Amino acid sequence: MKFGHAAAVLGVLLAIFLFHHTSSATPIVGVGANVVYESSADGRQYVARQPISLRGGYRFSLADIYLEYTNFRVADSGTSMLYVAREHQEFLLWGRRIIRADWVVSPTAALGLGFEYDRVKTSFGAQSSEESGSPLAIMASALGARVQIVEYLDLQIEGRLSFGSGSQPEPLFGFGIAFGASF
Amino acid sequence: MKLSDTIGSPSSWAFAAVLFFLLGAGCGGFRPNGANVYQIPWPSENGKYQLQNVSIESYEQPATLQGRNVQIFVNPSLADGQMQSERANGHYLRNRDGVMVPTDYTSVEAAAIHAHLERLLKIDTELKAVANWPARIAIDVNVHSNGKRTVNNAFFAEELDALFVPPYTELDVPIAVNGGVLAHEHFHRIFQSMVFKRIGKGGYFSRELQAFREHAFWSENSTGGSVEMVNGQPLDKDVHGQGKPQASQVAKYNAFYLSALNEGLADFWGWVYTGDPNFIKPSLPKLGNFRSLDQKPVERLASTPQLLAWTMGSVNGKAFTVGELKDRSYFVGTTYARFLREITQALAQSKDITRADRMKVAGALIEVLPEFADRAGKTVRAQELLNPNTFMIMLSSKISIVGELASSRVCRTIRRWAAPDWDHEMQAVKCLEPQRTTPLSPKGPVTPATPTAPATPSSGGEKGGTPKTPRKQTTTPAGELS
Repeated sequence: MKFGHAAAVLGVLLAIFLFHHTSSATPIVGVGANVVYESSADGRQYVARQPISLRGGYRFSLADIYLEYTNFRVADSGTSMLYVAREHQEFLLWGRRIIRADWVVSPTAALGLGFEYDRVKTSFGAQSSEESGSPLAIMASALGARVQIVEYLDLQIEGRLSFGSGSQPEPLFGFGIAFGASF
Repeated sequence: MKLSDTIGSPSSWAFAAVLFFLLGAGCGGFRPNGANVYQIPWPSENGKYQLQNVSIESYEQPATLQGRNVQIFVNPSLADGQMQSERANGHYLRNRDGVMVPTDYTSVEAAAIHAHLERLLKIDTELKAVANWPARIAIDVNVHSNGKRTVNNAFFAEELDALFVPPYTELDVPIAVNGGVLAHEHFHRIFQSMVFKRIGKGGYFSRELQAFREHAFWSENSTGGSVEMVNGQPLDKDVHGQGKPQASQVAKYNAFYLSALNEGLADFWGWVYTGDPNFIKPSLPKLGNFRSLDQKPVERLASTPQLLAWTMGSVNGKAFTVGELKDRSYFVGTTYARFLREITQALAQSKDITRADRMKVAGALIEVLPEFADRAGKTVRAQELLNPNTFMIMLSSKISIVGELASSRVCRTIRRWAAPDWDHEMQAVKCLEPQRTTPLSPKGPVTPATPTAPATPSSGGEKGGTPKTPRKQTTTPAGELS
């Protein structure tokens, strides 16, 4: 559980950071569409998944702290009789640094920690089984840019790399675009 | 009021976030490697496949689909004659009961293969069967034949020492999860190790055997001979008119016969493992009915002239296509599988055949394979025809039979089912009558009364003699067996 312990320590540090900066914080929310590339079963290619994400948190002067929920479904073709469909969900706590706020296109860098879990529906003939997995720790990093569209709205574009402790043996990479609002 | 006040203060968000995060991280960190119960389609008591929780001790690296008994290759390629694939990705979740549940189709296939091969290895160990381990199994294989992608099939590629399972597109149980079909294919691995390799020592037989498996062989040789059939039997003069078949014909015959025997014994192995005489049916219903081991009435084993006629690839002027010849080898093989099932039934203490009954005959089969291989090797090297009865007679000598009734039943079964070549000798075999007190063969070797007949038939071709004219084939309904 080393990964989980490290995540917990980092979470505490983030909380301390939040306590010290509450006076200048502004709530933010966002919705995003991503593309995540998972290695295929044969390891020869990458299969694109297209999750949607919801975000909510706070913006400080040059940093955003927010929670992100991501969800995508994979309808594995299988066969007519044996069919497996997976739903993947992630909860990540992100810390994002706005590197140059004075630029029109502000570069950003972010680190996220959290957990993921899968649900699967297996159909075999007339039989059907739905199972949920245990949460698994996940860590992610992102590089991107933020563009202020109007006073309360911005557009965020980023590339991501995530490392899970689950069955996916390799890091996942992907791209995302999100619209955010601050109040 | 500011909107931020309505949502909540930043400090409360922070507390919620940290609490949420700690809960998640505390629950996380599970690694699937090491868990050993998997949810996969598995045959139930009545033979019907259902999703069940199955223990797999040897599946040690599910994240890459690998285990100590099985190497899985997903969509492999060939490079310099070697099978290669990228590192495969397995996807499983562990549910609240600790059961590993596959989250994609390939992972279902892999887990089922590991589960079945683990149990087949246990049978091998129990019976002292020899095969190369870990088994190399390729799934989702992209194989083309005659310009079309091969689907809904499984086969053992001996040159790669790998079992191939191409994609399944039918509506029933996928072949990769069908234990009977996997057992069938696994037996080819055993036959390869215990028979073909043994026969092929010195490299003599490998060329002919390899040729049999290549379509080009049949394409080039399909018009190599013509056999006139009368009453379902080839005329002697066409087969043996020159006194002895040509060496190339003998080689083809022996390759065809051994391949057919291999298929038949593999069908028997599928039944031994599953207990389902129609184990192919759950995946391939039409083929299953054709290959079922409990089909009645049962045909006798094909005679030497019959086999030779088919081997020549032309009957009554009509040449077999490559596909027909391949089908014919399965057809010939199936009669051996049914024969073995009848012997098992004859041995059984009750009408219901138990696993122990099946294992008894399976054990005898494994025991006889090396001896049969040595004998077949000599015959092949002498460029003589393998006799279709030899294997069954040798096998019967290995079966431990307890009780006069069983002894009588087995003896009668062999006499009725043997290829017609030996009719004149089989008629001389006097099977034990159950009510008699004098045992024919107390411990089981059920051999014809003529000592030299079963082992060294004078008419079957193994000694190179001219077979007598085959008698008209007669089939005795199995129901008449005592």
